[in-house]
Amino acid sequence: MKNERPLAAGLRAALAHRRLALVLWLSVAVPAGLVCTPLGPLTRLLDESPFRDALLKGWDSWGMLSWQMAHRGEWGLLTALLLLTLGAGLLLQLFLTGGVLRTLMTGIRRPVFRRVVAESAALFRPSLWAGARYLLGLVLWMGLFVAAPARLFAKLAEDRAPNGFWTSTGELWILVAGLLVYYLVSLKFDLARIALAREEARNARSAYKIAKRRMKGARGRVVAIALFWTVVVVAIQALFTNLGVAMNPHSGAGVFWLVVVRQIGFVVAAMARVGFWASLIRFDEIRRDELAPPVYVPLPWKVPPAEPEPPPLPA
Amino acid sequence: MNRPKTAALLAAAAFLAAPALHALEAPRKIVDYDIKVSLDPETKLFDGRETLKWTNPADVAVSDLKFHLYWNAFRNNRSTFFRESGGQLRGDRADRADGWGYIDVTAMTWDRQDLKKGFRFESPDDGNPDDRTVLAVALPRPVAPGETISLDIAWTAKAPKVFARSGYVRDFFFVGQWYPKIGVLEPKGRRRRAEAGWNARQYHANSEFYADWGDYRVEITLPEKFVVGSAGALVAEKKSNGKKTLTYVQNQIHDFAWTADPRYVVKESLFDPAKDVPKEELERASKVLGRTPEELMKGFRPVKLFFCMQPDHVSQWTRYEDAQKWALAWFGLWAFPYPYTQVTVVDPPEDGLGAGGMEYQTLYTAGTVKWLGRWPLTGFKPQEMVVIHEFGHGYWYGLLASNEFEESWMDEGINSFTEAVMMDRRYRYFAEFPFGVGITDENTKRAIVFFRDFDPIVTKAWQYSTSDSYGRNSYPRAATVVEQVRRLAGEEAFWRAFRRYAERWRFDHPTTEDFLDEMRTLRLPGFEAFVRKTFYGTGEVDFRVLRASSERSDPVTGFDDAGKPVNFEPGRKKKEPKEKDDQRPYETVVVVGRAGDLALPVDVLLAFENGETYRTTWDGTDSWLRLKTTYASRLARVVVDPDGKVVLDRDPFNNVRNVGKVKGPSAAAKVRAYAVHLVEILLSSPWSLP
Repeated sequence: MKNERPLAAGLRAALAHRRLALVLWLSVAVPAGLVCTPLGPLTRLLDESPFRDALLKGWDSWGMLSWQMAHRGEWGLLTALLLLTLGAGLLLQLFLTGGVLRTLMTGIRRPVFRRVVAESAALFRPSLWAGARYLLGLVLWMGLFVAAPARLFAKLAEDRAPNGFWTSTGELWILVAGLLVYYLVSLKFDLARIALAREEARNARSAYKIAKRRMKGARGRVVAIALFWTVVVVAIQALFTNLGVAMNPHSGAGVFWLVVVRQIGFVVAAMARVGFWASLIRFDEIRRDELAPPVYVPLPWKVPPAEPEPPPLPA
Repeated sequence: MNRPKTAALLAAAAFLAAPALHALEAPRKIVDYDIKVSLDPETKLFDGRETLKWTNPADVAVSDLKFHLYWNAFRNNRSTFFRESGGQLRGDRADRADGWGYIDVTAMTWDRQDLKKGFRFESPDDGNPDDRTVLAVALPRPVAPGETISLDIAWTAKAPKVFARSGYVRDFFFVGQWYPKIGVLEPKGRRRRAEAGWNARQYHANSEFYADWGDYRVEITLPEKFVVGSAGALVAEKKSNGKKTLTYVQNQIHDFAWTADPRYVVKESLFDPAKDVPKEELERASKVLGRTPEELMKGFRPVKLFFCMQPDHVSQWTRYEDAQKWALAWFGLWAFPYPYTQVTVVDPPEDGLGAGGMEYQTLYTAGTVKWLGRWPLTGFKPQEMVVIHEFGHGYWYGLLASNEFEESWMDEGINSFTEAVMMDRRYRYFAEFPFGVGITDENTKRAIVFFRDFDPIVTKAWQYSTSDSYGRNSYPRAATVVEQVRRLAGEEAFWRAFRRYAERWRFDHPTTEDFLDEMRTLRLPGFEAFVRKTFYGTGEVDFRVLRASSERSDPVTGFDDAGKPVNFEPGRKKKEPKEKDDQRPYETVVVVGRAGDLALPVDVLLAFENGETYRTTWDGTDSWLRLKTTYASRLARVVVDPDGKVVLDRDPFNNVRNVGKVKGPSAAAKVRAYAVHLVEILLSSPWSLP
């Protein structure tokens, strides 16, 4: 759709590319499933504990606290495993994003799983470099535009009563400037990944150059797109999390339905993520068109064809 | 001083005739302070004069006096306080550049006789020659038993930069333990002393205070811009040359603290017993204590509440107010009504939180930070907790004036216990998270059972092995041990004894043994051993199920005395009957054990598959107990301590054993499902961001 707006393109893609959303959902469900295995032995003792009935009803303050205190070793191990899984999960998402972007650009709706994996593999190396550059950029800009001014405000607030003008200004600065810097740096990274997926750039460096050009003069528009999808995903997560807690299952069947409902929630959230990417791709297309050099325009007069050259004379 | 001998003897007789056998209606007045002090906020200097009237309460004459000069703890890094604490308290560090403080007695006279030449510093606890927190004053003549002397004392002091209770930050001042304060001359019998003698301890890193009761009149002169809060009632105010002089009076107290800050926003409220004692709590107390509501409400009086708030915390003052009113109501019902007519709650600034969370009589410091009043931290209730805790000290340190130097648990431990009861009753959770989950205050204290201890609860505050040990044993471990007594005794018996203890020792100086004597009236089995292992020892306990089996009981099978086979055919395989046709009973064997050296009675519950249960109480004195039974149904579950009475149990997770597969829904599966969802939420969170 030639003149489609980014948000409309995103919403359409979110509904149309459900299989792609399922692939994204796998990046959440598979690591969670892996964590479930060591959780088995750790949680098994809850059924052999005095807290079983209370936990089935809802919550037991002492049960949960004493569980953590009495089994600190296992909890430590689980925490380490959880952090490892979160790291692996984020890497997996970084890996899959390239494939998701390329598949979205082709518009192919099925089959997508193999395509996403194959495309992701092809794009992983430059994506990883772009990711490293993103982290470096985030630290740099956060330091320069957020941490340094915040430090200055803190210095100004020194030896004054707490929570005065400078403290409040510093806190407001951290919130507003922090969010703005985070969004801008992250969106540049996202647009660089789109450039890589579109094969406009072969490496992270040139992809970032393209992203920078595309963002220049349109930062407000791209931040607005991202904010819209932030609100959508947060709303979906809040809705399904509340629903899951309200279910408070008391039986095996209840637990099964809890898992089903929550997974539906994560799939819907993944659909919104696909929508975000589609919006960003559309934004990128619009910017590419806006920034393209002037195209060839036919001249109003006719140019006579060139005279044929005379044949070479014999020696 | 020319005093008729007969008057002295009569006064001595009056003191000696009032042994601590019955509850006192009012405290014995030993001291009378008339203090005039001026504060220079620029230099942080205090210039003070006091007239101290002191009565010798002992049956022996004394030839020297002991004074506490607490602010000398901050004089230099050689003081006992600094050596023990390393210049930090509860995470706040001393400013070693410009934060030092001191107090110097510049003059002391008695009947116009200069006592200064008889000054010498003492270090009765650690012999530290550099400590200047206890001043001994040799007298020109002994003070007779019952004789009252009047001393004129002048002093100058510099406030330390606040990190440990008292001091200043910018123009905020918290002024506690600030004047030359006479030590306690304990007469024979007081706190079970065999002989009369001085009790004046040095200022230690891990100790608080102990003093005699008396009346205070305090005149404070400072610049007009300051807003002042104090332990007394304001009776006069004079202004001149940009300065003001405020006069405060408070009787029957043993400590006088005050605070000044030009930024204070003072909020006032009134505790009205008719409105502010919750009806359901009154009914509950009436039922448990066996007293009529009218009896319980007798003695309650309106109490003026002053909240000296920092401007950035003003929005949180109603949270302080709610907790304060609840505490006044609760203590009035379960201990005795508050006898004073005012309470001042001081909210220190965030850069002066070293002054926060500290008790003085009729005045205490709370503490909060701006963010605690805002979402998403509104589910945490440290503000309420600190109000309830510090006000509680007004009872356990203030009105039952235990010696915090020597028996810190009697204040901190009992106070932590009552704090947890009040917090859980009023607010349910100390930390409330979204979705209705939370952790109770009592549970956070009980978690102490998971740490090993190297000191008994009853240890002198400065003699614990480490500061952590002081903290654990004085606060949560002591609270949990008292909670254990409560659960062993049952609600009615415990609270009646508890209230008797509070009423009996009001306005007096109880000891550990006085508290325990009241608990001994409960006649709990094995209580003396419990006391030895908990209050005076480091005992611990872990009940667990060691074995649980329930198998079909075969009839006699084998050869009889005549060598004939019974119930089997030699050479043929025995056929087991089908489960549904099997009528054989089950032989059930259960062994429960106790690890640790603390013997406690505990219930053991056997639940059978047919729904029947069998419950027995094991006295816990042996290290294990075997239960055997032959019964028609198979054992399903064994539970040690099914009602959770043993709060000192180190691991409640080994208290249950299921025989066979767990039937019914699985709590483990539910917890697993939610845990996995939490992981998924964390993993999908980046989807909400670019």
